[in-house]
Amino acid sequence: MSILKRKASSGRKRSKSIWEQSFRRLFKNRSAVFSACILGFMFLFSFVGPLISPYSSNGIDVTVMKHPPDFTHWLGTDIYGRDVMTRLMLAGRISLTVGLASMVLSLLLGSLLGAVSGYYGGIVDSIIMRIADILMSIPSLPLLIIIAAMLSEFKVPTDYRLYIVMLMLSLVGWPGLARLIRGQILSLREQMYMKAADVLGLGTWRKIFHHLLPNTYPLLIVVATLSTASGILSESTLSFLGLGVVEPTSSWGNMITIANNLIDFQKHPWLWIPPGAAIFITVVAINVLGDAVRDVLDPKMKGR
Amino acid sequence: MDRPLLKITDLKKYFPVKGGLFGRPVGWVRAVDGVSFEIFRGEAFGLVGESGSGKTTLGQTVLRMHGRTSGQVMFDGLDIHSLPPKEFHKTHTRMQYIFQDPYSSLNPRIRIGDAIAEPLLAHRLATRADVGEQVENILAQCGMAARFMDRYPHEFSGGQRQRIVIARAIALNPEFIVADEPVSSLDVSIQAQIINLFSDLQEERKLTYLFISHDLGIVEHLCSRIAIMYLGSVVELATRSELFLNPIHPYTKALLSAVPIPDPERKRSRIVLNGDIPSPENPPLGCRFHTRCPYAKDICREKVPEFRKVKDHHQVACHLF
Amino acid sequence: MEEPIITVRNLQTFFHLEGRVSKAVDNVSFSVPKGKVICIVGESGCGKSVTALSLLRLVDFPGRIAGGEILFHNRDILKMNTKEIHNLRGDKISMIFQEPMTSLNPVFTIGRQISETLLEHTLCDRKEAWEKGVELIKKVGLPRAEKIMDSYPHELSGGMLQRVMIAIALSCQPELLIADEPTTALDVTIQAQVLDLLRQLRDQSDMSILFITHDLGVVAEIADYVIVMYAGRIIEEAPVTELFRHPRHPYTRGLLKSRPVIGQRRDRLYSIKGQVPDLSELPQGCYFADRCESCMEACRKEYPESVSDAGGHKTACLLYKEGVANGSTTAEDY
Repeated sequence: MSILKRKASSGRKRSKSIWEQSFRRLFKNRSAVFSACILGFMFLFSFVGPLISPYSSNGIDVTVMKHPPDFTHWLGTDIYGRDVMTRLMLAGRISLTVGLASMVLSLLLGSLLGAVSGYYGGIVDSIIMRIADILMSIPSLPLLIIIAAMLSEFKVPTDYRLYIVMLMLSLVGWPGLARLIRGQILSLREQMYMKAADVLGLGTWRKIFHHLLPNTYPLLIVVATLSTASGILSESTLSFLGLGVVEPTSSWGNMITIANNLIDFQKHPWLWIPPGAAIFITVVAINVLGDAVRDVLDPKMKGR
Repeated sequence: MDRPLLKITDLKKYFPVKGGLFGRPVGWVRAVDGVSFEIFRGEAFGLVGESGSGKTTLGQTVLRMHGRTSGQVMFDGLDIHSLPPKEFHKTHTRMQYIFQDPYSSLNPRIRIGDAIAEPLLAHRLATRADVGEQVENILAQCGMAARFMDRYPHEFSGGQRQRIVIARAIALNPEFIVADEPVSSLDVSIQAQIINLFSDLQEERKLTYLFISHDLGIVEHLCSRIAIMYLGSVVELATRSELFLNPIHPYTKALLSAVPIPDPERKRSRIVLNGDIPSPENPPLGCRFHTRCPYAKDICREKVPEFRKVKDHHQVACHLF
Repeated sequence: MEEPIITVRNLQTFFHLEGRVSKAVDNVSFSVPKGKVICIVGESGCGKSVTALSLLRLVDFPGRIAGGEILFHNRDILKMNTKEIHNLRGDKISMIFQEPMTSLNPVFTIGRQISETLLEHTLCDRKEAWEKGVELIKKVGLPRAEKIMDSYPHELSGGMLQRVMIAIALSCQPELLIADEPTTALDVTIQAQVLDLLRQLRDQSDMSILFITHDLGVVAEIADYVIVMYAGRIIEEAPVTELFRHPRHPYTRGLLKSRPVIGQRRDRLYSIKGQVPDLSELPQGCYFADRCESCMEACRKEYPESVSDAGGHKTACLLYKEGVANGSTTAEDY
C-alpha cells in the first residue's frame, strides 16, 4: 500500500498500522476470540477433516443403513449407509465456500458500484441506484426460487449449480452494500482532506481507491462478516428446498431435507441434528465476531 | 513590485439557497460580492474578516475550488476560471491552499510520508526512486524529523499536523499560497512557531501569501498589505502601517478597538458595535455596514459607497470619508 | 479578603486510559472570593477545563476525582450526595460553555428551555417562569426579548446564543458562574460585547466568576486575579496587574511574548520550543523543563514548590526559590 519503500538501513520505526492496532484490540475481546476459535474449528473440520476420514462421500454401504452413532460411524450413517460425519465435513466445504464466495463477489460489486456512484453523483449515481432499488424491491427468496426452478427446468448440470447459486446470492446481495458504501463516500467526499486532495491535483482513481475506499474498510469488514452468515443461511434455505446444491453433492441445507420425513425426524435424529447444529453454530459465531469487529473498528459505537 | 501576480476583478460568488419544490433556488447567499484587489509577487497579503464575511469563500474561489458567479481571477496572466481542465491541473503546482483545521485536512488512513509523496508523483515532480528523499527534505524544512514519515496523522499534535500540511503544500514548490486561518485552531505557544515557519518559508522560497485570518495581531505581524472584509466586500485596503495607524472605515476602527490587549492597565476607548453581522442572504441596502455603524447617515442607507483611493496605498469604501 | 465562596484544596483529577494514568489536574488549590473574577489561563491539555468540570463533579468516565476537597461555603462538594449536588448545579453554581450551539437543545424554543430551568430550581408556575425568562433575556442585552423566547436555537447567531446561555445560567441568581472559554467561538466584536456584559453582571449582582480561557488578552480585560496552569498544575498566580507587570514563570513570560500584539510588531515572534508533555508520562522534575530557556540542573530533579512573595504573587519555579543562587535577580533582568 505504501508508496514509500521502507529503508532498512535508516532504522526509522514504522508505527503500527491501523490494522495491527485493531487486531490487538480484537484479541482482548473474549467473545471475539471464542467465536473466531469456533470458526477456525469449523474450517479445519470441513477442509481438513475429509482428508483424515476413512470414508468417502458417496461410499454407499447397504449393510449399515441408518445406523445410529457408534465408534465406527461417530455420527451414524444415512439412508444409503454413507457416513454422516464425512458428509457433514464435505457439506461444510460447500456451505462455507458458497458463503464466502458470494460475500466476496457482492462485496466487490457493491463497493465498486457504490464508490463510483457516490463519487461521481449525477446521472451515473441515478442509474446505479435505480438498478439497486429495483433489485432490493423484489423479495429475494421468491426471486431465488424462481431462478432455481428455471435452472432445474433447463437441466443445468449439478456441478455448475453450485457456482450459479453463488452468483445468485451475490446478485441479491450487492445493492444493500452499494448503498451503504455510497452513503459513506458521500459524507467522506465532503471531508476537508478530500478538498485538499483536489487542490493537490491528485487523480480520480487515486482519490477513490487510496483515499475514499480505505476509509470505508471498517464498515466493509463488518458488513462482509454479516453477509457471509446470511450467504450461508440463504444457501441452506435453497438447498433445503432442493433448489440449490442437490444430491449427491452434500450441503448443510440439503442434509436437513431428511427431516421432512416424519419417521426420520422422530427416529433418526442423527441425520438432521448435526447439519442443523453446524449451521446454527457457524452463523452465530460469525455474527458475534462481526459485532466484536464493529466495536473494535468504530470506537464511537462502544457502550451503546 | 511591478506586475501583480494575482489580480482579482469584481469577483462574485453566490450560493443558491435551495428550498421549495424540487429544490429550486429561492434566494442567494452573496458570500463574495464584487471584490477587486491585486497581490504582488513576494508579498504577504492579509485578508481579515469575521465569520460570515466571505473570506474563506474568496480564498477558495481564487483557487477555483468551486466556480465563480462572475468576475475574473488572473494569476500571472492566466484566467484561472476559464482554463481548460488540463491547463488548470498544471496550476496546482503553482498555487496551493492550506486549510484551517489540521485535524481534518489529513486523511486518517494515509501515512504522512505518503500524503506528501502522492502529489509529487501525481505531478511527476518526483520519481518513485527519489520521492522518499524529497519528502525527507521537505519535512526537515518544516521542522519535522524524517522518522515521522511512516506514522499516521492521529499520532501527531495539532502543531505538528499543521507543519505536515504546510510541508505537503510547499512540496509542489508553488509560488502562491492561500492560507486559510492556518493557526486559529492551535495553542498560543504553537501559533508562534507556525507563524515563524510561515515567515521563514516566505524568505527562503520567495513565496506570495494570501493570508486569511480573523486575528489582527497575527495579520499585522505577517502581512505587508491588508484588506478588511465585511459581508462579502472589502471595506478597506491599505499597507500595514497605514491601516493600523490611520484606520478610516468605522468597521476597521471598531475591529481594532475590540481586540483584547494583554495589558490590564491600558485605558481604552472602545467602539462597541451593536448587534451581529446581518445574513449575507439578505444584506442591507446601501452600505453593508450601516446597520451597525455608529456614524451612519441617510446616504449610507441608500447608496452603496464606492471603493476608492484616499491616499497612496490606502483604499476605503465609506461615504463619510 | 472576605471569606471565599469556594475553596479548592489539592484537587486531583486523573484519567485512566488503557492502563495509563493521565494526571489532568494535580494538586490544584485556589479560592474564589465574592464578587471577583478569577481567570484560569493555559493551553489545551493544561487541565483548566477539567478543573472547572471537577468543581461541579461533571467529570465523566474515564476521568475520576482522585483526591482533594472542594469547599462551597465550608461544605465539601465531593462528599455531597446526588440530590444535594443536583440542587447545587444550576442553582448556586452555574456554568456556560464554549459552544453555545451545542449546549442548547435544537428542538425546543429558547423560552421553553429558560423557563424549564426556572421551574426546576424555583417555586413558580409556568407563567411566572416565562415572564422571568423575558426579563432575563432583556437583562443580557438582547433586543426583542419576546420574539427571542419564541425562536429556536438555529435561528439565532453565536453571540446571541451565548447571551441566552448566560441568561439561563443567571436564572437562579447563582453565587458562582463558571465560564469555560465562553468567547472563544465568537468573533472579536461579539467577544467584546459578551465581555462587557459579564463585567456588568458582576458589578450589578456581586456574583463571582471563574473564567477559563487561553487568551491572555481576554484575561487582561476581565480578570481580577489570574491563575496560570501548565500540564495539570498551577505554575503561577497573582492579581491581574501584578501578573502582567511582572510575569515570573518562564512559561508565563513566553506566553506573553509569543502573542503578536497590535502596535508592538517585532520582526520575529518569540516562540516557546517543543510542545506540552504527555500527561501520562510526566517527567520527574519541573514539567516545563524541556521547553524552558532558563532550565537548570536542579529543575530536572524535583517539581518546584509554589513560593509566595509578600504581595501574594505565587510562582512554582526554582528561579524564585530562596537559596538558589541569584535566582530572583537574574530572572527579573531577563
